[in-house]
Amino acid sequence: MRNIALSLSLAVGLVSAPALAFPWMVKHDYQSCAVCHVDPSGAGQLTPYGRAQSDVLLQWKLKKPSPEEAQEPSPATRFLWFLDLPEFLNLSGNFRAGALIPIGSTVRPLFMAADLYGTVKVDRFVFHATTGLGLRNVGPAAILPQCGGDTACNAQWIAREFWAGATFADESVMVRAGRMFIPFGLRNNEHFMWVRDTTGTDTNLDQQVGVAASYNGEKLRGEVMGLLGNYQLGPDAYRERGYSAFAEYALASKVFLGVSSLITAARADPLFQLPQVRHAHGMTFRWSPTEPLAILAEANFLAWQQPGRIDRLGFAALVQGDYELMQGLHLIASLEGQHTGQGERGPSFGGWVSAAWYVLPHVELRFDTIIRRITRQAPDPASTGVTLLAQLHFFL
Amino acid sequence: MTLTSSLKAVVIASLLVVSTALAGLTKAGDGVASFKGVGPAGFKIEGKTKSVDVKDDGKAITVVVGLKDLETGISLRDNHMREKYLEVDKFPEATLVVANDQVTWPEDGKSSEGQAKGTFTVHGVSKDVSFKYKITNSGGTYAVEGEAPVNFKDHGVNVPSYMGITVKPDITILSKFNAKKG
Repeated sequence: MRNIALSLSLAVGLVSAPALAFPWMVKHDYQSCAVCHVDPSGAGQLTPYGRAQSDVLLQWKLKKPSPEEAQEPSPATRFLWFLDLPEFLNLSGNFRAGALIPIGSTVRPLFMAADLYGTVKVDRFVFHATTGLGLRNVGPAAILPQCGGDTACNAQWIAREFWAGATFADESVMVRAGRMFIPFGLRNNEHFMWVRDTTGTDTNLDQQVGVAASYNGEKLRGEVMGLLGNYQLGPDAYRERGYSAFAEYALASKVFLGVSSLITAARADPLFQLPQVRHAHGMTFRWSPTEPLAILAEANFLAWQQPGRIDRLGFAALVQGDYELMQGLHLIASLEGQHTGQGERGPSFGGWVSAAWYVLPHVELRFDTIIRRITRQAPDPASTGVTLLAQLHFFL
Repeated sequence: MTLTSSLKAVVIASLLVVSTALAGLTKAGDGVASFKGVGPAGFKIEGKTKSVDVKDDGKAITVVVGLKDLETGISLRDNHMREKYLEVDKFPEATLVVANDQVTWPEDGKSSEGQAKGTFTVHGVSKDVSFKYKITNSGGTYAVEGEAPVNFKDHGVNVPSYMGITVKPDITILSKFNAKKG
């Protein structure tokens, strides 16, 4: 039963797919995400250069080619595997499906994403939008129909991002307005890990409308965003307004230290219907000590303030090691912890052992084993659950 | 002392003086040469090679960098760099020639640093460059490091551009090696 509860909670997080995001690219000395992603702080649609790197650096190869053997990216890396697009237009897609296999319970098939991405770039101006189909519980990203309370929609039209921006200073500065990812912490692929979930910065569902300015320099990168709320949620009282920001500095080659900060205020929180101010402040660390290995870490202090109630304090933390056995085959070990300040008798802990195999152009197979020990308020006992997650991912 | 033996002594002393004056600088241990470049949106590239040699003809020191092993960490990029841009089959080496009097060689246990001028050649084109250097003498072994700004367009190297990412032509070249005199 506890496994079922854990699996259901994971399924809620998984019904839509994580955007492509590879913070372990530091092993190739890519600090800036803006070279490979349309979003200047990473995740989501790839640029043409990023699409080429997905073949050169990401796709499975039995042996790393020498410079003499290196081949140009396969024609199959094009949109829909074959289509050449005009330079100003970038189209791609993200389709992910899988199965959640709770130990001792029923297998749950998952439809995780069916998104199309489009970007038009004219001179310094960039226009980006995504659209797609969601099945159940994609509420924060859904446009129509809106299903509130206990009602679950079977299918919803979703739009995670739509923004317009302009670049300056040789594309090191971008100013944007629209609905976009919240700049905070690591943009890790496992979007429902606690560091993303409890900070409200899931790259999958937690996009917000706002105005942002980003910088990508030789050693420093960062972004600050004024949050105006998620206008795909209602009523307005639930919309969180405030700011979110991160900055990351290269301490040395392949060693990066970052800070993040977020403060939002809403006139009502969904749980107590009380005004709430939410804080998340933390640090990130990325390090590649040897070429196959990348270490990622994030730790956040959390606080929730509501009138007439004692402030809730908590934390969310993650340490992850990504080891590339051979190009395109990653073994990933992660440890996570959280405390949501809701009277739990202690922190919850989780461990992940994962394998990601970029087996063909645009195709990823991924397996995760997730063990989570969830601590609850007294008198509810803590529970431990083990879940296997299998995913097949196509990115067009 | 006879005249003959006196002459011998003078000749030997003169030869010693001459050989000391011509005592050349030779590389001791490994060296490394690298370049750093940048592009749009925070793009950066660093290439490295351990193929560094030092020659000294008594008038000038020549640092010779082999370009065939220059690596940036991505095989395809290395291929483009070596074949399309540096054309290493035709121009396998980059050199920096510096007159001996341009740098100060410190005494044992001391360091010297400053700005000097030399001639940098890559892709078959030579240009004068001004570079920063630092030399530390530890027991007669000189740890030498230098850094120079270079515009590779000045050397006839095409500007690398790939899938919308164009490297800026102003790069920094760096070299580190240990050397001994004599």
